[in-house]
Amino acid sequence: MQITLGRAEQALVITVLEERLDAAVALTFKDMVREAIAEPGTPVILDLAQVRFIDSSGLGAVVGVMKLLGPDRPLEIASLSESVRKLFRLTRMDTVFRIHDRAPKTEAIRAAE
Amino acid sequence: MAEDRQIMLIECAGTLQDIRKALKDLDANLAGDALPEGAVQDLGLVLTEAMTNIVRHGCPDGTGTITLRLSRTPRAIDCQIIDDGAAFEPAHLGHAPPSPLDLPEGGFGWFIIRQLASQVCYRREGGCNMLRFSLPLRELS
Repeated sequence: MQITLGRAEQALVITVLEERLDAAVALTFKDMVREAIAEPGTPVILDLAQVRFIDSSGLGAVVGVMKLLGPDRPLEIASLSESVRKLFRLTRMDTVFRIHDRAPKTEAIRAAE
Repeated sequence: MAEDRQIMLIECAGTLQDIRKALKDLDANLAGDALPEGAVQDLGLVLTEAMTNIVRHGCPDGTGTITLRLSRTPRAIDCQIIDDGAAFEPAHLGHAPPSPLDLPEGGFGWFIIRQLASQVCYRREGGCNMLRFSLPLRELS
């Protein structure tokens, strides 16, 4: 599991470099993102362009990150693959997140591993 | 009636890491079967949810074994998952989704299985759980 951090204007962009966000890695993902959001920036945009598969545990971890951020720092999602978009639709979590077709261009901050 | 044809047989240990390893190349492993892409994606999700539940509820100490058998019929992929973990009756689960307004971090697994699969059937036999369901091969949304 690897993520990279970037900045786009005020936003903090977290790019997930993992093809499969499933139950086996959901906790690691949440811990890494928890550390990453110590970096300032709002909204926090989760760039999922590299993620081809998410299960309900991965989705739960994304919701968990949203709760960690609290109401004043929205979590937004970018670049959903067709199957990941379907999971968001099926669970109606597409009504909870602002979803972008693609993440904004960023300046790199650092990578976390 | 056309005969069922087995297209995959996997035996894996009952841990989340082993499920991940078993299912991460599902699309490559089924590439020879000319299945619609959406069907393989749905299949991967349903199998992941079902097997994750088995590990979490039936094999919490990681000692179980899960056997997955997939067969192709003209209009569906029939799935059979057998595990030697604790008995787990899912009849009451997944008939309604958790409300998005509650910001749920779990509880979606069986809802997803019932949304995407049909003919879901569970029985306990010979100290094992046997879960069967079918993934229809219609044009998927």
